[in-house]
Amino acid sequence: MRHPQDLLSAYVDGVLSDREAADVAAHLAECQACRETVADLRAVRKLLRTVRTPEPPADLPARLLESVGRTRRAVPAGRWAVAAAALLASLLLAKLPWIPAPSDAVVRDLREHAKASTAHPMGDVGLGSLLSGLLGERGTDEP
Amino acid sequence: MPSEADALVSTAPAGEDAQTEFARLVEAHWRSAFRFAYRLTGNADDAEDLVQQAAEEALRAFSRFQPGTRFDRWWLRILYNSFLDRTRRERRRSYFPLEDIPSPLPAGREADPETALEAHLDGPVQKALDALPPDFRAAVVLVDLEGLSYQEAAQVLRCPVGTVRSRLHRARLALREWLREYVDAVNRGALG
Repeated sequence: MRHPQDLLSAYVDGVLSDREAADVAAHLAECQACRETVADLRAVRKLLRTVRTPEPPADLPARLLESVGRTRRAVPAGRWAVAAAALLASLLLAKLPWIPAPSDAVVRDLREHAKASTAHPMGDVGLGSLLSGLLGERGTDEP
Repeated sequence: MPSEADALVSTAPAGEDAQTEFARLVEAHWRSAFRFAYRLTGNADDAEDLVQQAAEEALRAFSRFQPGTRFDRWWLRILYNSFLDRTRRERRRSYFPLEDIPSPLPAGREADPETALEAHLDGPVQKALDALPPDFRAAVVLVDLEGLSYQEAAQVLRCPVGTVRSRLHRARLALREWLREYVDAVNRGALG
């Protein structure tokens, strides 16, 4: 076997196949130069493993998440209410069969409200009363 | 990175949950991202910058992240690409071609290697790492410092396993020349 130069690092790392590893070991038994290279490669690996990485700043994850536009705690509960109200409003406007078709006046009000709640996402009291009114109407339809 | 192994595999990101999931994954893996970035860039400020950029790019690409695969590898890959872009843009440093290995280490000689080994190893080793071309340095950092397998490193570096193997070997041979005094000291038993 000629000098298995390009296999020596993999040999040191123990990632050669059994066959390759046996061939390299047989060569090393007869080759002083390659034995020295293997010893040096082990030494290099050892040196590399001594380096320490400084402790990263503890607030790094917070700053990372802030910089990508959010933190987990930053979603205000109000936004969920707005999203739910908007969904309900769109369902009503779509006249889904399981909800009785609202009167034209109600549709108009809802449209107005949808615009308003987009502009003022924090206040959604109006929609709440509108919806309860609507559900009340529906209740009176049933015997 | 065995201590982080339990938080590695993600669940499916979807909609609003995706951002929460992303935040969770970033919190689980920012340390390994920082370590990789630090060893690639050689200093904490650039490392932080790089991690930040990689986090932003990862969020933008998060819909393409495949649930059930390793987020840390995926993020490190993005980080590595950002790093390569930077080095191409900046070209602040000149790298030594590995065929033309200078000896001794151009970074200057430290004191007596035996005593320097104890206290100042970081300096010379980091300087030697910095002198490697970026793709060779990345292979060394992932395998020798972070303990990844060749296969895992190949995933991060997006190259064949054989390429990792040859880069690693050539990089170590270069480091051997640049750190000759320290290598000899280790061979004499200096590091135990």
